[in-house]
Amino acid sequence: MSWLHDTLEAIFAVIAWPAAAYFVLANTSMLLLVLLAARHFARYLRRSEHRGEDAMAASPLSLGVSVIVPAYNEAAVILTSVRSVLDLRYPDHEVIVVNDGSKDDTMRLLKEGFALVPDERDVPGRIPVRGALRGVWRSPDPAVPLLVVDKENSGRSDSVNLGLDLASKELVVMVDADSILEPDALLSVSKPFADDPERVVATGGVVRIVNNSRVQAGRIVDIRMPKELITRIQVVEYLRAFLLGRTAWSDLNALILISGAFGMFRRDVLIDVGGLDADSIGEDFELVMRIQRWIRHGHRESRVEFVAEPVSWTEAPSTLKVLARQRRRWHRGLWEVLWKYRSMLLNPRYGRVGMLALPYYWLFELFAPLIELVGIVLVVLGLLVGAVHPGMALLLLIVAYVYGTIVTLAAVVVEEASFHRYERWRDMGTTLWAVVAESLGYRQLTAIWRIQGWWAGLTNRTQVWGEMTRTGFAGATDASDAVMPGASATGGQPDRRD
Amino acid sequence: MSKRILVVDDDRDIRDLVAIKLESAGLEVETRADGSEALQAASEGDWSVIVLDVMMPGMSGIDVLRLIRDRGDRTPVILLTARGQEKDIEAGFAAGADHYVTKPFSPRALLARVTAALG
Amino acid sequence: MTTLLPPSLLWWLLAIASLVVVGMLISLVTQRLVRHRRERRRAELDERLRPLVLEASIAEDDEVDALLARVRALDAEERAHVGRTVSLMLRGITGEAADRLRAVADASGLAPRVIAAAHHRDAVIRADVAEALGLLAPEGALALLLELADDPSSDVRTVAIRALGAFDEPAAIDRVVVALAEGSGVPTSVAASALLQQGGAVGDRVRLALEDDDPGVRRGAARVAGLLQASGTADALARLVADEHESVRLAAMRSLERMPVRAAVPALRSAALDGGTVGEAAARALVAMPRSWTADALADIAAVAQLGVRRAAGLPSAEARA
Repeated sequence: MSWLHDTLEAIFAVIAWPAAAYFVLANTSMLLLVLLAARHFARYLRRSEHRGEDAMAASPLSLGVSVIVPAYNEAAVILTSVRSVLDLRYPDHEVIVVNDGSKDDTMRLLKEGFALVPDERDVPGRIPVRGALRGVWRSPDPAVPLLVVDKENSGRSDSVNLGLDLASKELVVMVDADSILEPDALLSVSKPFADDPERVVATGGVVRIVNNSRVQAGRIVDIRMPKELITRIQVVEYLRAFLLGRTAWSDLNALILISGAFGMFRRDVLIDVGGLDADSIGEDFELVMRIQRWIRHGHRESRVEFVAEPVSWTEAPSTLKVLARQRRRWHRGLWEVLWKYRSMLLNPRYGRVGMLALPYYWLFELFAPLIELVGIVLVVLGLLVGAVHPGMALLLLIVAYVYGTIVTLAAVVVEEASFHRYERWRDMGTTLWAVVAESLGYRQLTAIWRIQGWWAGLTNRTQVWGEMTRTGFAGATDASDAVMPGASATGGQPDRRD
Repeated sequence: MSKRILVVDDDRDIRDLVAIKLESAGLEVETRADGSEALQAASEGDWSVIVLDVMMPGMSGIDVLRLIRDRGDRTPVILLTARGQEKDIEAGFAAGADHYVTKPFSPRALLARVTAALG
Repeated sequence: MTTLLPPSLLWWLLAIASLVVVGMLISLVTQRLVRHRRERRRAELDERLRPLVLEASIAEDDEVDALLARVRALDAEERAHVGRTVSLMLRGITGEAADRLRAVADASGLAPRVIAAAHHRDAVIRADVAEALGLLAPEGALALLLELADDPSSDVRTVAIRALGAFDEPAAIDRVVVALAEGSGVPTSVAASALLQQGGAVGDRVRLALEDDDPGVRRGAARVAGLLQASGTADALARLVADEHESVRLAAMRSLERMPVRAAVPALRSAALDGGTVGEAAARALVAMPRSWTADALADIAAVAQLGVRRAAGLPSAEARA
């Protein structure tokens, strides 16, 4: 076995310090994002006395919002969901439900529940849609601004595009039928548009995990930490990546992902760039990248912003099987979009997106699982055959996992200082354990899945879409096919689309 | 027999301010903070007037109103609507409201509305 | 190379890491404890002081002075809490009760404190002051707000303009109209909403604003004209349908949905036929007008306009009519 010993020793001689440097860099970058976000929250919360949300909610001059809700087999929740979206606190919004060829009673429930009548107006056709249109319906009640579009099944992106074509307000937001929205969600996420109408073209809001929380009539009434460990770890991940990571990127004017579960766009810009890409797995990521490119090609003043207030709550995978599927898809989506826009990487023309965000995503999101797993394998082997100095192994452990855990803990501290949504002491305990447990197997597992997803993308295998079983909000929670790039081993940024 | 008024609003300040104003006029007042509690109270009690806030987390005031009317309850209902939500006024009347008052409102004006609804 | 690793480095790293972790855990627990203690304290104060404030809201004229004297006699922490309580309550009510609460705010020293902070170094504080001035409206509030409307911080200016919406004196209205201009640093929606709140008192100034040189002012005025429906603005509004700035045209069309003006129909018709976002807005305005005025225009739209415009006009599609 001495050949193994010598080979490994040689490998370590070359890569040991660079590997350590990689992890230090990765975790320090994340820490910087956390600190940037902390500063943002501190300023944001100080201004809460005079933000003027009540005035905005009351003003008939607020920009109109079209809420597009793609729905596939959502019979269990569709009525509650649509009602709760109609009841959002906003002076001027319409709801457009797009039935993506559901095989269940979704369409019938909608027709009966809202006494829908046929809408016989033209469909503008500004965006090509693949799924054949079956019919457009509307509520006859002028106090209920609801449009329901019935079409053949062709996927979420295609459905959203059809809804976009029929939307009539200045702003458009896409919401999943199973998302639970805060009553002021539209107000929060549209505020950047109101404050800076010339420049803001897209905003995203924070998505949090609803598992085990009490929901009533489509609104969250009691926030609780999830029951399963893997779901609790995801709560921590979301805090780090969504709440803090995105806030920081937004401040840097380099936000390249908005959660599909809650993203708001200017309708004219969205139509201008051509809507969602129905072929892309990471469709939400792909859309924002396309918008960022659109910005640099002639609209340099425009910006994409992130709103720190929680706006949407969604179910996260509670079993390993569903989580695995989700992370494979996310990483495959990440790969495909990063590759598609590779010309923007390290390209000064694309400003901070090209010079900061993209290198970060390539290095610390895309490659991270590979580096981490290879590293683990080499270190374990090396220790077994004595080819690696135990001190070096310990050093790598510290800079990869211990440092990573510290950064995550910092995220938890920032959350406590700012939004502190989980008020029970018991929840703090479970959160802390989840922070530690993330490095004790969760990260390694997700790294394996992410590499699998990446491989599937490289070899261009067709993905099997998962089916979503919905039991309403009281029952078990299985996540649907989320399509966002995943969490990096060093503690990066999962994105959700649910 | 004193007239009993049910006041429903998730905002504690509104509940307290309205309650004290109505009580100062000799009315008996009870308050509830959300839709489901309101429904239960409405079914149990014998109310002369119900003052109902529209914008509440969970069940909205309009949903509560609909359910009350579906049960055959004809108690006069005064809705508290938010400024800027005109569609709530239409929806409210369609659901069976008798009057509405837009926030921010004068408690004295609300008292006058309640008195009118009683008489 | 691996032997270049001094063992002490590792111990140092671990030691630092442990310290940092312990520090963060302490921070977590401390923050929560402090917050809970503050909440408990507030609950205690509430129990004692809330009834006093509520009583004041319904107090008869002859009882007011006694109540205000009680407020004045409270200690600093209690008075601060009364101030907080009153501020929150004032967001929801108007009328006599609100006036009473403002008197309480005055007696608790809140209003004087707010006024004193109007020139604070920190822009966030000044903005809070502007917000409070709008709510409490103490003596001299208007003058202070007019000052804050020229603050170097755009944040403060924005809040001041919003607060000015509660005042309908000519000076307040004029200042809000000026804030509509492009480059004022105040979002149009805030200034226009303030103007809307000032309501009927605005009157003639809307007509003048509709003809202002600045496109931002024209746009803001156009947007509120339909909601204010002041007399004499109809023609000026109709003319803005053909304004050189697209945003002004759109604002005018939006207003015409609320306030139909026959003179605007020809311009709306040609905008509709030109299509695009503006065309759709024009179609919506036409639909909101009496059919006798717009029948011809709608017929033209039905015949040749873009699909999006026809949809905005509520016209049935060709298939549906067949």
